[in-house]
Amino acid sequence: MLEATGFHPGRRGRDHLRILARSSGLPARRVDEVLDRVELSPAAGRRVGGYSMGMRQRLGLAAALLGKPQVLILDEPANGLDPAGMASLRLLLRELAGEGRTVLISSHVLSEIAQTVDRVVIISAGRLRFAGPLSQLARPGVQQAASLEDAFLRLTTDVGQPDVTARPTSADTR
Amino acid sequence: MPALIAAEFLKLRTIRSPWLMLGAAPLIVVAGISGFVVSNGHTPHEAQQGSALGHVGLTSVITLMFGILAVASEYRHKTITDTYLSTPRRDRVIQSKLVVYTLVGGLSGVLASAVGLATAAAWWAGKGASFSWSDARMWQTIGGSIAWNAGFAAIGVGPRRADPQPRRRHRRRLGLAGPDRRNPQPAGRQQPRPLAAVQRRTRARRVRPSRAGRPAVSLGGRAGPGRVRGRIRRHGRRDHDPA
Repeated sequence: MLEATGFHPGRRGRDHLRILARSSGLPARRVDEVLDRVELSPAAGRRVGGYSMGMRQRLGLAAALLGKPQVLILDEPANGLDPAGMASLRLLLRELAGEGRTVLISSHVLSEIAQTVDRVVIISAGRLRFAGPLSQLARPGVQQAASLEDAFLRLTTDVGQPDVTARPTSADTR
Repeated sequence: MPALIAAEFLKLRTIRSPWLMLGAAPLIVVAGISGFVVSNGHTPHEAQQGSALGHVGLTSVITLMFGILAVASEYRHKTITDTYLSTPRRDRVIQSKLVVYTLVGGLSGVLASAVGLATAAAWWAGKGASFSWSDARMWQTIGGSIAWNAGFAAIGVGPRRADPQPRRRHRRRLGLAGPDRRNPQPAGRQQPRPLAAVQRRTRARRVRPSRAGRPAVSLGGRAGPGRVRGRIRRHGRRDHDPA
């Protein structure tokens, strides 16, 4: 699932999914199944132009779920979600992972990630900095979310990368 | 292909702009024919039926815009990403758009003609002239106008030969796939070899260790053709540095 932008604003949510199902050769009943799954059924008959950011995110997620994928790749899925939306997204992703699917999330919202994932991969400046279970980043006495942020900052602003912190901003050079 | 055509039709059906545009076509015809009769001054006669119905051809401007929107609105709203992801065969996507839009453009022409005929017949009757339904020139004009409408919708879609195998071609450019057997290059005309050029540049750029004993830009110091190819295959990039 990419950023929640690939929708025609004049089209209804259900129609968007029907088109994808039709062109991918999937049965039409999948549309209602995924709409239920992301809790978008009540708004499925409305035009996407009137959707909130969170509803668009859920519609994008529904589209990704149409083909019952074993691997789900989500780019910043929590963008623009309200607290309730975040909680239900977390629940849904855990549920999908519980069914044996792989869910890969790329995100900068570390506190949200810390509550959701099992394993973390940290990439900075094109290099792999860390790959492993979240628990390996934990430090005694520090909360999980704080320790992930701590580790992220430590790993991405390493001694070998002085330019990451010391690069002049555009305001300086102007 | 039938699934794709059905999907294209569904795309068309589920937004309002095409219907608003196609709905405007008969209105233009009514306005055109009415203006023609009113400005005529005298009672219309049979020879003028063809000219009056010629206004149907005008609506091809609308079917042209309608066809242009087929692809343009997908790019504008970024739905093209989903379209090409679910159907990587881009030529098929364009072909199915062509079928659907040409058909609907033609149907719009038929509808505009029917409205035009009714309008003209009503004006002729209102002015006390006899309307001939067997006027060959009029029917010729109508047939041409319908074809015009369908043709302009097709032109709007803007068919071109899309690359049927973008990925294969990309791999070929990188030197990872063999030569194109179905589409062999004529002798004497070599395929461009960017990878070889990259290697040449790399060799040229490779700087001998300076006095400080530090190499400057170097692809790990080893950038033979096989190595670069292997790096691309394994790591997806030319300059992968295992260190």
